[in-house]
Amino acid sequence: MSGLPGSGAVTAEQLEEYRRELTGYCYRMLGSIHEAEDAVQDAMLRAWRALDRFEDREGLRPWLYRIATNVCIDLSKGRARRALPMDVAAVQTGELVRGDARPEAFWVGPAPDQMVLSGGDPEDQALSRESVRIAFIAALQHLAPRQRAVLILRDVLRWRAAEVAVLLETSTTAVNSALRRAREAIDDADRDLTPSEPAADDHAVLAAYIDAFERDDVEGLVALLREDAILEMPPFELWMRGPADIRKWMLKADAFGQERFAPVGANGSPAVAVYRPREPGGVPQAFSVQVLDVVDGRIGAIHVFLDPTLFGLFGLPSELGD
Amino acid sequence: MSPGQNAPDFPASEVDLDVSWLVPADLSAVDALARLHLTAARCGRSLHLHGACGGLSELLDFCGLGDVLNVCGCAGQPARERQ
Repeated sequence: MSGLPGSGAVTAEQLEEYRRELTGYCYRMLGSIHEAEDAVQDAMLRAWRALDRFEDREGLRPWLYRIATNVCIDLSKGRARRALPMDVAAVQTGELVRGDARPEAFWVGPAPDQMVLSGGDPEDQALSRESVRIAFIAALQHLAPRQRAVLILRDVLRWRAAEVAVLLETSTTAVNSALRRAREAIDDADRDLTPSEPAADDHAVLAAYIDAFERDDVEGLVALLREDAILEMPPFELWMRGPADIRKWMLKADAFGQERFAPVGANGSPAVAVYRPREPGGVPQAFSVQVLDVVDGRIGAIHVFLDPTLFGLFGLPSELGD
Repeated sequence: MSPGQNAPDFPASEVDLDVSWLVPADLSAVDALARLHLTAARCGRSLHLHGACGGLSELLDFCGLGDVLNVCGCAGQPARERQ
């Protein structure tokens, strides 16, 4: 496709070059890869229709981000922000009851790496991975209003720090530090679970995790966990902390020996798509996507997303044949 | 932009702006209103947005500016309560 008359040199191909980074941006704003995909599609359509009004003065990228932000805002109107179980429920101990499921729209969901990670040099890639970690995405949904205002005014609307300071009746220093505070809030939510860099042994931990399931070795799995490890499984509010309760739940769920595993990349973290038969000996069906936070060779969190509709996004079938 | 017909009386140092016409509310609207607020502040005036409809209040809240800009609801509605 070539550029529209009056649209200068901008072509459909040029718009498409921004699809992946815009998907990452919309995912960070919305907390759902399904919604992010729809938002980017809508933003691309709006951009294409408005190309004749595009002025090169500010550049294509900021213009597309502004359109995408508007789409995300439209999608977010009148709706609660998405969360993780540990944001909305007390940690469970004792009987470990799964409880009722909440709607998909209630929860932050995972995203395939290939849809949201940007390319670039290793430093850019590391930053890109950091910015889509599950805990980071969840924290973004719940930034304090002032931090969100600073982010939107500075990064999207391109206001100068001095202008933001006057608007918010504060100092330029305070505005600049609000950006840092936003990062600190995110780090707090992250519970020190963000690794300093993606380690080669992440994949070894994932392999050991899968191996433990396949060998029916619950003790081997528990040995991979940090003392403060958590396990959560949206759409249920249930979440637990510590190897003892996670072990108890794994035994109760009776998952060992029945499941089949397909390693994937999600949220810049090691992850695995899990298939499970509906009855013993049955065909393995898409069951869950599990994203691991690995810190220093141990598992800090297991985010289990019980959503078979995610499998298509990872290019995986909904069931496994022979 | 004209003062709202149903606007409450404000002292001369305060400016009331009818924004009921501002649909659809989008990020350009937020940008414009925030800049008006900024200009008013620099002139020593206080800006009140009156008649915010069509999701403008939600939009400002989403942007973290709900408590920064002085927003009153649609005509006949009381001013939005702040949390």
